[in-house]
Amino acid sequence: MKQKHLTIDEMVQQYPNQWLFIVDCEHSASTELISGVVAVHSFSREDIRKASAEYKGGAAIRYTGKPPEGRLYLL
Amino acid sequence: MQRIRFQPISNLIVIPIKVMSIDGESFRDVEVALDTGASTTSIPSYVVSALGYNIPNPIDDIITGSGVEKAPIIEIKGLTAIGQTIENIEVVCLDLPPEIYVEGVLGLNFLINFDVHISFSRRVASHQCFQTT
Repeated sequence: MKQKHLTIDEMVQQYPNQWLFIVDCEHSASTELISGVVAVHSFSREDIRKASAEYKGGAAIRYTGKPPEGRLYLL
Repeated sequence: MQRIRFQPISNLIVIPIKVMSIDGESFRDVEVALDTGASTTSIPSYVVSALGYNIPNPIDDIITGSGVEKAPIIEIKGLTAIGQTIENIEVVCLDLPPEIYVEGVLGLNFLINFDVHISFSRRVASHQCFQTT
């Protein structure tokens, strides 16, 4: 069955708080991801890394949740 | 001028970048933190290896907030952010801790090629090429 093209907002709604591996990506001229097909979704980041290793085409990786509040970063 | 809207997530400016594969036929689009305090862009090793690059032994010293680490540096075929591509750019292959929800940082070795403007009130980052005279 052909998987459905989703916008980013639709992905967030359908797969909340998950890591996504997205193929067949459509980008704006400013490199924003507009839509794509969710090939793999998982609560585990490691599952997405494995999918990335096996896939040879263009793909995007996104997390649909929000980091914990109050966390501080010094990169 | 190209521009992109960003959401400050935990006070990080998170933007997408596209990393081109070694054969130029593929890419990975990942989210990174725009970091004017980083001299070099960093990309996780799993992204680099998925795109066909060989990761050398880590012989270069990288000074981080927590000390001096050794990490491999490679040249990638192309890096695109906010609609602009820099070809043949060096990046550090660095795996950030899992507690951070970005995959790397977009550092000055990319940003220095443009005039970069960040509007926090409008939550827009933009950049344009230098005017040549």
